[in-house]
Amino acid sequence: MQTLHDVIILGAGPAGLTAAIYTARARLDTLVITGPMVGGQIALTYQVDNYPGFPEGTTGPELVGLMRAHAERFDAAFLEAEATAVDFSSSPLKVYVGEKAYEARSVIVATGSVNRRLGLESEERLMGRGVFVCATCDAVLYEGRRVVVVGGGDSAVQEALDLAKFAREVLIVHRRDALTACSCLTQRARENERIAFIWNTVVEEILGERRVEGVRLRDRETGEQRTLDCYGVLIAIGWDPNTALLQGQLNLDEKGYVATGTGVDTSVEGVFIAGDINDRRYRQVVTACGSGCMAALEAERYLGEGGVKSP
Amino acid sequence: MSKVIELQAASWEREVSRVEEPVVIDFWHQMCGWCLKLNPVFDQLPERFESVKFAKMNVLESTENRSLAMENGVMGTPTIKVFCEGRDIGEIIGFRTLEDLESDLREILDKRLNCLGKSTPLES
Repeated sequence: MQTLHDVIILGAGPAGLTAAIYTARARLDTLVITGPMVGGQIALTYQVDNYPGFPEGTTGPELVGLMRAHAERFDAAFLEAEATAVDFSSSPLKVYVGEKAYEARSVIVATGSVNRRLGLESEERLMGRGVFVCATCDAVLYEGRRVVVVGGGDSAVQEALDLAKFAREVLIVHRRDALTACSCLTQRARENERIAFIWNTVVEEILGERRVEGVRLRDRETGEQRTLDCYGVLIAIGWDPNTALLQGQLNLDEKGYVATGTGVDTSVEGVFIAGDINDRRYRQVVTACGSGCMAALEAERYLGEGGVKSP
Repeated sequence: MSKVIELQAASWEREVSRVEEPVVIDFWHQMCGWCLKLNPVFDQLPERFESVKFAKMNVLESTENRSLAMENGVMGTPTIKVFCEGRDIGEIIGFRTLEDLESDLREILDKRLNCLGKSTPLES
């Protein structure tokens, strides 16, 4: 017989894991469908220096392991799989992994965000062959080389700083004439001798057949094009909410963010959101955990008030 | 049962260049989340292939390892490369499930059957 879970949580980053700790501790039957990576983006971050309670800092994978163990202590169940579809049109709510349906009285969606891409064919073809999105993962392989960083926000500048520990020259290519990153990062980047800036410029093409050999740039003011030799291209132009699964199920805005009143509720009763999926501004582990907690408390309240109403 | 060996740059000649069977190497490091996810998958490969050697090289363990990875065109982690008598005959970049990894690897190895034949000399 099909198990009816109290809560299904989609995603096992800090938001999903925190929600699981709360709902499982509240003795709600909780199933976490993890998605591609337990821990989400924090699992891909080596050093975490600003999560409270770790004065010496910790690593992303370690923090994820502790959060998961914490949720499992209260008997949250984990399914390491990717949800392929959801059906929120009737109760119970349904989450599909391939053909198999999982049913729940409430769902917390914490599927996070995905790296925005330039949308070039060359970008996909050369991914892992000089195009990359994570300096923490790959900076060491660019030692002594020239690397272009595309973007101008916090993540672009942080990635550039991480890269500059190894790369000979880091060129930040930004479409505006000033960084949008916070002043602390901007200051550090400006003081770093290995980092330089190319303003008002966009990357039109990444050059190279089997590996990156350069980029074709276009100046947005003059329209002038030029090529620049480089060994790597790091893309850091922001994040998009990972809401493809929710199309047609929840009200989304034109950018794919979930329409919400309280920050964690949605257009369907019993369905809540948490974490980077709807965070346009902060994107911190601790804020993801905070909203995971909020979503869990709302789910608990909803189920306590009688649970399954027709959405 | 064959196991995955931990490869160091210093033993490259002995473990990779001078062996007759194909050598499949996972270039990885402990700060890379997808590498950590791939590790247990990669560990299951030896039991699925005969006459193929499997190794992992941690690119952060020494500057020699890092340089060797860079010389061999590793530009992201995890990258799996297949060598035949020291020659690079194919690569798989990024995480794969066990089934996908096995099939992608067979595709690379099938193209180079002469490497499995052992007695067939390869052009230098």
